[in-house]
Amino acid sequence: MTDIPEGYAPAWNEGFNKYVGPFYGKVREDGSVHFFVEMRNEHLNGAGMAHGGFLMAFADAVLGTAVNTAIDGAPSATMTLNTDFITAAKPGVRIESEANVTRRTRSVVFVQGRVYAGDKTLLTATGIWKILGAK
Amino acid sequence: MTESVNADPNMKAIPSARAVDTPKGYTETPLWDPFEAFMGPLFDKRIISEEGEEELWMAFRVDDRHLNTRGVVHGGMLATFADATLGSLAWNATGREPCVTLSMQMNFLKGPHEGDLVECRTKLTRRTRSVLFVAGEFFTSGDLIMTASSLWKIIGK
Repeated sequence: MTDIPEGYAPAWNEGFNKYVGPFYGKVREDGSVHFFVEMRNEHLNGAGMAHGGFLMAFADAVLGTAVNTAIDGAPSATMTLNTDFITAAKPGVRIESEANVTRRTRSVVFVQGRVYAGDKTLLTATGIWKILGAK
Repeated sequence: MTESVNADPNMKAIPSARAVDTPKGYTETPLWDPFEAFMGPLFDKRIISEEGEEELWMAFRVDDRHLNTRGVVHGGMLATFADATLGSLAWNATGREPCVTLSMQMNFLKGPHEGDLVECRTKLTRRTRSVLFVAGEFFTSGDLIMTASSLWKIIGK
């Protein structure tokens, strides 16, 4: 069983996140967000490393939560997501991620983050989210 | 029924986590990656475009495993599908040499819903000795819902 540190809870734990995760998350005092997930065999690619889709999905989840925190839970949706794959991750490790908002306008939010394992960055990500209903 | 683009008589495909009816014109794609089988099945077809070029299309049917809390497809699922489809094109374009994703850029235009068929048209934009540029356009019922462009590294080159 996963040892859940104090302050962490399964994030948006329905549908995709529940099926692929759970992704455990916490909002830090500075408004940035930290997630972790225990890697399982289902998360791998044919080479036995973390699948790129899994890493991008985990990035989307943590960036989206940083956005959601910055706009006090208003509905929002990913408009663009850019990811660079820095290095691969072997199974059996705890995969972590963090994200922070770089700018918020009336209708969009700019956010950046990374996925990492120990001291190795696996993936860097930037994105722009639309605040739904805002012009 | 034509053979899947990823068919390989020497490899045993990983069964998908769910059985889904094969959409008309498509064939089920044998999957070698556990994560794709966990989210799958996926389907593929090759068609000849109006310009006379062969195009690889892939598809998946949206179900409850793919949704976010707003009831539309999770961006992570579309990213996973993009990685699978653009990676299939890259893998076949190199004569099946192993490739890894270097980068992926995605624009999300519309959120598909449960029951929708999401289709991807792939395109090899450029090929160098060590890197492939691969793009994809994603549709539901003919509406563009996402675009993606990606870079793939041929391992060891």
